[in-house]
Amino acid sequence: MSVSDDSTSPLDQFAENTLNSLTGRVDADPESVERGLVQLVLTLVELLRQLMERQAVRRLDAGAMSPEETERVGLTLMLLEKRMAELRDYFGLTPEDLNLDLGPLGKLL
Amino acid sequence: MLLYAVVPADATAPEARGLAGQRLEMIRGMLAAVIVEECAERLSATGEDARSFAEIICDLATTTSMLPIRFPTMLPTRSAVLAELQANEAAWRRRLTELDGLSEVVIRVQWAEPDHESGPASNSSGTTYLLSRAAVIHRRESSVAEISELVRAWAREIKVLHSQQGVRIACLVANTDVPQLRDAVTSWQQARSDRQVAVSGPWPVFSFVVDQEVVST
Repeated sequence: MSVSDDSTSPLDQFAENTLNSLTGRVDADPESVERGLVQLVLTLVELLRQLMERQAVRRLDAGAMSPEETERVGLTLMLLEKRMAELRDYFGLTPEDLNLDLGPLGKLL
Repeated sequence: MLLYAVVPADATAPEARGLAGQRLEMIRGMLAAVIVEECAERLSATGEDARSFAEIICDLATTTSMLPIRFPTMLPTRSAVLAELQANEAAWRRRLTELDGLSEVVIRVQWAEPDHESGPASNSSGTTYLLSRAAVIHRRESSVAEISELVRAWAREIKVLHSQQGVRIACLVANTDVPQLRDAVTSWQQARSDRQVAVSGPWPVFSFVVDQEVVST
């Protein structure tokens, strides 16, 4: 392991962010509007999934969950992540597509 | 008009061409100026274009302090650019002054085991899954805290950047402090064999154009 010059420079990141922000817009083309809306809906579901995961981890850290509850919540989150991956694949979306660029506020996810 | 960057009103006009092959021009206000390129048609804005745009920004930043403008920002006419400039130049000038002599350095931390290896496919029970997700979140948070503390002596501002894997942190650093910050990160890394650390920069202040106080309100 080492400290090195970053091969993924901000130039690449800049290009990637630009593309993400452009693909993150809802496409108003009638032929592809369905995909654009699916992308938006899945982005919001992904946001909720990540919030639920964070909340579950906070409760786990605080010792506020019994072993049974930990298993149940973990299983739910695991299945939700799996289902999200299936839906992404079905609609030809990548994890990077499920995001919204909020301008000066940064990325949603 | 394709907009590139906000620069001080007295900055020298660039001797360069833009993405559309036209000469870059300056539209000057009293306190600030905007570097633009005449561009009749809307750009398709491919990743390659965005990268070329960022390279032009990097070249321009070697001669003047600047606020890079998000790509692809376009306004229909010169007078529209001037109106935008006049409406914002006091705030832009203030931020330009704050950022004068500063650059962005990006630190990226990745672990031997990628974050996605804690996903559903690698776990047999809900408890194992949740514990592995907790470990990923904890190591991200602890890395952000460690790096924030490490760079505190040199970084004027810190911003955690979007990253699908590991952690990426942008630091706003005085140009003269960049070598010390790199040395500090190198020393920090040597005690941590479980992760890979990469430092890039100095870059134009891509991540710090907007004042954090403005963002938080």
